[in-house]
Amino acid sequence: MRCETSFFSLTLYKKHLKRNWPLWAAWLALWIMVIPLQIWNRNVWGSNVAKYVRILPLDSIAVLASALAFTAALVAVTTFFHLFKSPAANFVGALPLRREGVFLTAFAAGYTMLVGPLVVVTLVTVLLEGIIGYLAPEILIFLAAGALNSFFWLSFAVLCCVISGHAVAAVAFYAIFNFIVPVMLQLVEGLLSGFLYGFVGFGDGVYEACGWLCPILQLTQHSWRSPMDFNDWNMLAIYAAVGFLMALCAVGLHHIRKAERSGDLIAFDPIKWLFRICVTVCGGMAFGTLFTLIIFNSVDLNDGWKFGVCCAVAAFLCYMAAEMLLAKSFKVWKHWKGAAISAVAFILVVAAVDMDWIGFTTRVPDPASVKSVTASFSGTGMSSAADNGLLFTGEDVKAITDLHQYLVKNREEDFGDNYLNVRVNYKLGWTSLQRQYRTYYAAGDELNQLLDAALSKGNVSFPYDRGTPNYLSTNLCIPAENGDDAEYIGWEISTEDIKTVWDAVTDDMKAGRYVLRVATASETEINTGTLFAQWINDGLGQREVKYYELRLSPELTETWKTLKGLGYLDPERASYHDETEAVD
Amino acid sequence: MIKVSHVEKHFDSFHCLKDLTMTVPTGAVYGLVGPNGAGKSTILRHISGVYQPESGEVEVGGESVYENPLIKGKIACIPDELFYFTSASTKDMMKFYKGIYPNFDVERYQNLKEAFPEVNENAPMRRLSKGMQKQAAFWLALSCRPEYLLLDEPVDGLDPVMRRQVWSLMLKDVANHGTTVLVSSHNLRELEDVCDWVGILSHGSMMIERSLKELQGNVVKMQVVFQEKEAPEFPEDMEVLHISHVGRIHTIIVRGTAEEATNRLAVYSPILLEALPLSLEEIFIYELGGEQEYAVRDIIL
Repeated sequence: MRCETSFFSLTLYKKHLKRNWPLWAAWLALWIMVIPLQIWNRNVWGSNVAKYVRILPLDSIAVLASALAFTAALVAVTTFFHLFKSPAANFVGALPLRREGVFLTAFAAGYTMLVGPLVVVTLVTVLLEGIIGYLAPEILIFLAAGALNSFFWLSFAVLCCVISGHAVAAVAFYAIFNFIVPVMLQLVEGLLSGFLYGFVGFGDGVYEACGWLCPILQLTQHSWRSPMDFNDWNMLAIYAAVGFLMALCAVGLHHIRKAERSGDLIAFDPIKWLFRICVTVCGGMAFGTLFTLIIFNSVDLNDGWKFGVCCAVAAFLCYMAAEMLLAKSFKVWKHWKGAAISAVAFILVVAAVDMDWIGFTTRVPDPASVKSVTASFSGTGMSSAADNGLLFTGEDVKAITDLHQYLVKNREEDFGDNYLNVRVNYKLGWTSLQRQYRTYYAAGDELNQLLDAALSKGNVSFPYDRGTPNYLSTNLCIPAENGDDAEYIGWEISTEDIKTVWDAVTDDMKAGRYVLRVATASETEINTGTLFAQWINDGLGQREVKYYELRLSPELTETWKTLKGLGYLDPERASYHDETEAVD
Repeated sequence: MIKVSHVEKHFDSFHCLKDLTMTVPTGAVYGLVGPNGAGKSTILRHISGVYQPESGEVEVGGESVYENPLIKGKIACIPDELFYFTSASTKDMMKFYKGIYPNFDVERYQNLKEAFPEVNENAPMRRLSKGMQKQAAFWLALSCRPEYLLLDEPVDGLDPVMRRQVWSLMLKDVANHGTTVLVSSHNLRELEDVCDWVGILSHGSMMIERSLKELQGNVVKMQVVFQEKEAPEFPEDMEVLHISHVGRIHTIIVRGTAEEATNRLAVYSPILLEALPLSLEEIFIYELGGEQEYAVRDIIL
């Protein structure tokens, strides 16, 4: 059996490379200019070449990821040309090749077009480094990172091409998929924060997870520090594995893809439904917000009906727009029912959120069901010890639920002299409940009393078990005479003094010599010193960094004494002065 | 042999092929005839292995053709819309085909150069005129030494001399190598000259599939002058497909043989009675004339 009937066609592979030579030639020229030519120039005109040959390839990896994101889309569109136009689809479909053969050949050609030039650049660079006498292994890291990056981006772009039947649409999907998740997450979070009193946001975990769904930012904003940084390799390996899965998906879809779908916006009927829903939901929210802004001059989420109507109109229009794109025609009025259902669904969702049909805003856990609760308080007169979090367990939980109940029932949005930010995190068996509120209060009111009651019950969160930090610094804020600007003076605690200072802080905290709340504004101004601690744990392949920040209130007598004794409060020994920063 | 059995195909809501069944005998030149939108190109794409039937079977040489590279290697196809790689010349495409088609015959390619003297094999195909591109497509297809040749509107854009040349080359292949040719065309006069089998396709179904001889022998055109000015009422079992008159001369298209029709009409003691053979074009029009929404046009007989 000839190779043409198997899973790879050398003839087609060569044809891909031959007909797309301008693309890979330009890619090669770009990287010849970026790496070997720069090294050559540095050798001729600059200095410190030995360091430069090590730094340049690592610094270029982020640039490489950006360039690959763009180039891989072009390569995918050109090598999978048969997916987009009927004559090409018929031509390739009639060739005596298996569909998998066509796919693998095109994929291999595309990968060669991306990685082949990088191999040449590496060889040229190694040769050059050999000639100038500064051989460095970093260029091989560049090549390996390029190979993994290429695999991910090409798989991603090819999957978009296979899903779509139109080259422009495929590239558009590719661009949209790169950004859609974080953009929508921000939008949804912003809207929910406005609608749902007490909504905390999605939290860092969700953002971190969704960050992975935005590869263009994840890969291009990552700077490589050293050749063997396992975080860098982990990230690339994960994306390459995802690329492999995407390539598998693409080959499967390519196998079942109908040739007659060439030219269609979406080549698969189930994905057309997904497209309609995504366009309607994303467009409804985004344009609904925009319409509300344009028509009502602001997104006043207290008037939820305005936003609901705007979203419904936007959802209707977006559904029809999706139909127009799918049908490639403006005559899609017959689909009005689907658009109307989308609009009604949007109104119901906005109403459900606005009127809190699920009881999100009024929910306060029963103290008996709470295992523990961590609450943090900041605002007028609050110490950072309170901001770092107080732990409540057992019967003390009721102090927090009472406060929580009050906040829910007495939503205060008028500005007052004293403001308070409260954030609570309940542990409820397997689940947790998080809320945050900003409110205003006056001296002697009920909220004040509840707050004092809560503060008196909580245990200050202090990292007793974390050991001595790796880094410790302190600063003082000294208000200027005119009251507008302040002078910040900072001291970095030297390595040999860190333990001494930290022990003093720990003694103060253990002795309860901290203050959670200061009575007057003038005391707040005095107590603006801050202690900053950092722990860095370099495990196998993982770097974990923890922070702790504590207000240096006058009650921390042992700490002040130790700092003074070691000479750190002497402005002459300060690590930095900053006189320009304004006091809020 | 190409065998299509009960094939169905939809394009969204459009039912393109409806239970289509057809058979192309080995070594036959089969003309696929039908109005626009009948499904001619669609069934050719099924037979060339591009489309997968929703139901039914498409077999070439006794094997299913879809995803069957061995069978597809024996098929050469000239579609209605030609494709060639950007900037590729005929020679470039020859090199590509040589690597892809197992029976590609470089010697034949060189020999056929004389048959297509106008085609500059080094010029990019996109620079060639439509007719030249078509010639290049024939050149390449014939060089593949196919056992099955599928042609969709193949001679559109070719001048009469080149049409004759191309048909002559294909018929030589049929005679010498037993190549099976399946050709769709609107040029019925041309098909009449070259085809030995004809299938008439309408609204995605095969209306009639017969050998040309059988088809032409089954419909006859009678020119009759009756004694009365008006034509008489014909019996119900006499299947009259069309009737028209110029003066007293009536032209009647009747299903059946010339002999049968003559005998049936002779009972009216006509003044003039003459049986004339129908061209394929006339058969096509009159056969489809009975189809709903397909207007019968009078043609000059």
